[in-house]
Amino acid sequence: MIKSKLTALCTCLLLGSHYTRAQGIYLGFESGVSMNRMQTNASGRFFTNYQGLPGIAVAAAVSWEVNKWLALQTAPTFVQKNYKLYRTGYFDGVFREFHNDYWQLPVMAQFSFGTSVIQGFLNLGAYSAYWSSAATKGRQPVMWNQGDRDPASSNKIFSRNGGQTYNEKYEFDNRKDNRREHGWLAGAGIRWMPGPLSRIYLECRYYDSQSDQQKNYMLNRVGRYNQTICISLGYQYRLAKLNRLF
Amino acid sequence: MQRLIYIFFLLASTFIVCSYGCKKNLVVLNPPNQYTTAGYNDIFESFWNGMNNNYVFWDIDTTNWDNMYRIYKPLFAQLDTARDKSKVRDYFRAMTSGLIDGHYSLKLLGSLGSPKTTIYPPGIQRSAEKRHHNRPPSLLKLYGNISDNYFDENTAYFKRPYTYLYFSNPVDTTIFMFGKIKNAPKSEADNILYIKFNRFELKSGYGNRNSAVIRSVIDSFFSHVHDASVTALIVDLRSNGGGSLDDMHFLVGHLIDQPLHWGYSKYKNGNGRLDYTPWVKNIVTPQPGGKAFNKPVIVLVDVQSISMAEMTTLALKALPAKKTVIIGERTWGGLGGLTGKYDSPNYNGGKFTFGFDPAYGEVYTPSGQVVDLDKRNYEGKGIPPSITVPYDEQSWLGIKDAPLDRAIQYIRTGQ
Repeated sequence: MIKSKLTALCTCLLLGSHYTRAQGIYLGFESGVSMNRMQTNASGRFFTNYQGLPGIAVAAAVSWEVNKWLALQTAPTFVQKNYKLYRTGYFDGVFREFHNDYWQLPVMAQFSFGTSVIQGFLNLGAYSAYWSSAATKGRQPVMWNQGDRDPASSNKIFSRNGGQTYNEKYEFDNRKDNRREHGWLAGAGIRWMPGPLSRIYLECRYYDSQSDQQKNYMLNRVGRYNQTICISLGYQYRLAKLNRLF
Repeated sequence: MQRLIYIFFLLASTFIVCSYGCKKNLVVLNPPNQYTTAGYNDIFESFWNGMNNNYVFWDIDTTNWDNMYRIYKPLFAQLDTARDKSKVRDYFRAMTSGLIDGHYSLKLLGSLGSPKTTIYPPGIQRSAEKRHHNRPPSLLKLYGNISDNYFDENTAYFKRPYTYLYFSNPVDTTIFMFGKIKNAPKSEADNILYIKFNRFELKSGYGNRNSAVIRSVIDSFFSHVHDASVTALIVDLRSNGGGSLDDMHFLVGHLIDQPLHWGYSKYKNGNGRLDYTPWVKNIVTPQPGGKAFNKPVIVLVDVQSISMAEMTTLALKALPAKKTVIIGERTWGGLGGLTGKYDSPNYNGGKFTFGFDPAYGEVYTPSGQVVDLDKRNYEGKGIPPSITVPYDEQSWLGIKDAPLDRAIQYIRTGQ
């Protein structure tokens, strides 16, 4: 029953009414995947590397079409900016994952081009974000613990010192963790407009943080900057009543 | 359309300029042992950075390390290469004076270390200057006092009422002794087992090729500790300077039949001073032949109980029977875990040398922090006893031993 109602609603939204385009306000949502990279320098640490990890991104999108080719858009977003720190060689198996949840508010100018049915668009703007929560998991050699007897770990660190796995909430350190983030964004996408009131789009958006994930708490601090790519599928609906205002 | 493209490229250019124009702080860190020997400026930089990235107690240490940089970098820069060695020592001494690390030492090498110089934080020096630490009695005499006055010579338990065991492995003489405490006159017979050793080199001694005697004595202890008639165990860790972490399993692992979670540890996890792993569990693994020891355990400690002696105290306190009592004085407060000289990369921190062939100096410092099951951190403070028995020099040198008397009293009276 619910499924059929949802199907009917979607059909109305997608195909409903007039095939004329007009400037106005669009409201919608988008969701997709994120891939974050931690931009830093691990040069002082032996056999240590950083690796990006995937996450999810969900947003509510509001877009104001100024004219046929320019729109202003914002999209309050929940996005995960995950990454992994891992070691290689003798230290193989030592790793730590950070699963970071951010609430993010991007503001962007959107430039559109194409036909009345298929359009391409480009986004440029800035964003501000708040690091709301985090979890961490990994495996760490413990110098007090007896080494694994697993032959697979022979000649590796875990044969000498037993490992402990952990998977827990990350407790923020107010001295170190900078929970506010801001930066630039750029994106590109393609949209399909089945009717004058609705549009579906696929977008790839890149967020480049300009703020260090750490506070300025020490000299010779090596910065850490999130660089996040989000690929999202979105739907927007034109608010007809508000359109009359413009 | 053309106007759109122009505007977009204008904005895109602005974006790129802003992105790359905003300075990102991606400092390249040089390992402290890769600095040249160009002068005092490099000496300072290599030491300061080595400490900055390898010292594991920055989250609880009150030393303002950035201030040390601001104050001492200009002072080092003013030094003259040939003449100012003594000032260098003074500066290093001042920079490290507030460190809480109970193991810390800074050994100056090469021309800086002539005459031989090792710098300890004053807190450690103060502890070391206390009472008997300056003039310890002969260990043999001390051990002899206990065995002569407290051990039961009439027991059929052992061929001899006590055993001295010497072995030099790897470098220091280890004395191991155990026996049965004499029964109290006119009271119900009990069977209190007592063990004392001066450093944790039991497993290495046991594994020594020429260690048949050592093995037999330690095996004898392990078999007797599980004798049904034993009513309590006294583990005397006074003046025990620590040693090999392997002995945690070797000794405590014989008193359990299930893995024993006794505390947590954490390690450096990045270049930042406050980059740490989460607290992870420290576990003792039961050893072959290990059985749960469910009787009272008394741990005797003093201010000279250091490092593994303190960690073992925490492990014994965590025994599942919850019948462990710590008697004596507050311990030293050096619970950090030390690695071998070249193993600090295993844990992203700890010991390091600074300067480059020849090195200027060597810093002796742990690679991991340890806390107890309640995550109480005793570094620089020491573990407080459950029952305090202050140090008494006459007891130490004479025939009576007040902490040991108190331990026996506690076992026999429950108070």
